[in-house]
Amino acid sequence: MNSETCDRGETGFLRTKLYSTHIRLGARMMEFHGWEMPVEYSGIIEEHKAVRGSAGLFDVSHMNKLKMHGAKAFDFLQNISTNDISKLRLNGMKYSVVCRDDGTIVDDIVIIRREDHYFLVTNTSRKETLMKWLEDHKVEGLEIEDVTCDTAALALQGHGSNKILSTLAENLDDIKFWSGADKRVADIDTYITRSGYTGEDGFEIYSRSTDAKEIWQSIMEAGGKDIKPVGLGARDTLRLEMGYILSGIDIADENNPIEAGLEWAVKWRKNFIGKEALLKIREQDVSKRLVGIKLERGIPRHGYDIVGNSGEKIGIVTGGTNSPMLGVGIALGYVKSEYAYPDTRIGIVIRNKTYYGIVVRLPFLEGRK
Amino acid sequence: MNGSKMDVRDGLWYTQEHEWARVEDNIAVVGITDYAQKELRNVVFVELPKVGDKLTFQKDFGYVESTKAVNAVLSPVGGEVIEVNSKLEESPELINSDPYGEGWMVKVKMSNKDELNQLLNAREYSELMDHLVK
Repeated sequence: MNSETCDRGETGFLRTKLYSTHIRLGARMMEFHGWEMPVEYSGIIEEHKAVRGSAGLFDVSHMNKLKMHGAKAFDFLQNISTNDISKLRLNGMKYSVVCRDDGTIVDDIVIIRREDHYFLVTNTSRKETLMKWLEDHKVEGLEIEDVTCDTAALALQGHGSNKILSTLAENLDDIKFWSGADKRVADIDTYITRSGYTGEDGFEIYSRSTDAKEIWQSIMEAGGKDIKPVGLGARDTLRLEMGYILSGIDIADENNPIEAGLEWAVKWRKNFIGKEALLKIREQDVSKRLVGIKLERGIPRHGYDIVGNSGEKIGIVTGGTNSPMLGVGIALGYVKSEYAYPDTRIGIVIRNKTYYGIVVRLPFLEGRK
Repeated sequence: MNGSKMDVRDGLWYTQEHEWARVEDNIAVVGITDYAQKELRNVVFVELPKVGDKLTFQKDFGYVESTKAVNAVLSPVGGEVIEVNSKLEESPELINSDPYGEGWMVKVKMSNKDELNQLLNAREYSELMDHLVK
């Protein structure tokens, strides 16, 4: 761990190298799991629509970033991943889940295969849990390096991203969806993946943290009126519209990947920690499932009860908001399995009043990537 | 930003929690202030009481929700609701665009006009703005 290289404000919270940039842009800052991060600049809805309409730039340098080196790095990763890492090509990128022996989720992770190591991006809110779990399962011949503070991460998202970044970097079309490449952006060394958390085309740009300001500035200038800085507020509404789950919120210690709808990232033909337990859960039927819910009126939020026709509790909302594109309340939540079918009518209790809606297929917003 | 950039209207009564009341005879029109709507930013949902409901001085009577958060609105006066601004159901953004006008929330028949003495006048509320917004 080398978290001593992180900047810390007078508030005691960690700051990315873009802190002063955010302040200059008039961002409203908030504490997010030990980091002081921008929630919004011009407003969540405006920023959300900028990403859906042209492009937005996010500072996501707070994301936990790890390098795994050593002769045993592959074996270790394959053993802790529900997904199959053996299929990962050089510069390929994979989403995976890390489970305990009993099948419950430690965290979800993104793994990128580099020349001499694996690069992992994991959730800030789950950092402590994941790092402790990794430490407990570490093997001889594996080195885990925390590069969070040394490495900046910017996300450029929206259909205008390619055009904007192409003015600063060459041959971006070489980078296929969910893969990466070493690229120079405005003459600065970066590693770019074509990926994101918004449902739009876009790039995630990793660099030395000391270069972040210059890269941010170059992209904002290249984007001109077609780009807006976007905070964590819109990052949340954008991912909710796509039905993307958020670790620590939609999946926490008590959940397993089957009920969370993550079976697509579980490969049964390989071994991994938690496999036996998950096979059992799958056979014995799953008592609850994560679903998408669209309300007629009202805004669902984390922790609200979900009820059936006679008002009996059938589940709980994990994440919700007012969808800026659809103009209605949308939620992710767990419901008893018998309710987990599209068009099932359910209610959500908001301040002792029941607001009605239906279970819908995800994503809420169609026609995206 | 500074306090003078906040719209504070003469002749209204204000709470420390940023609600306003416009009083004529024993009727008060109630809403949230410019400062409150700026703090909330995009208002996307408003929950109001029903006509006939009794409001208690300084107690929650409704909710204003932004994309990110839920905020209770406290009543600057006690009394009976005689009208609600049903336009807010379809157009909650009126609270952002015109907090002292089309963004009004409820009309209340006051039960005790003495409660107004505990509220701030425009000058006092402007001072609060100067203190809060630097």
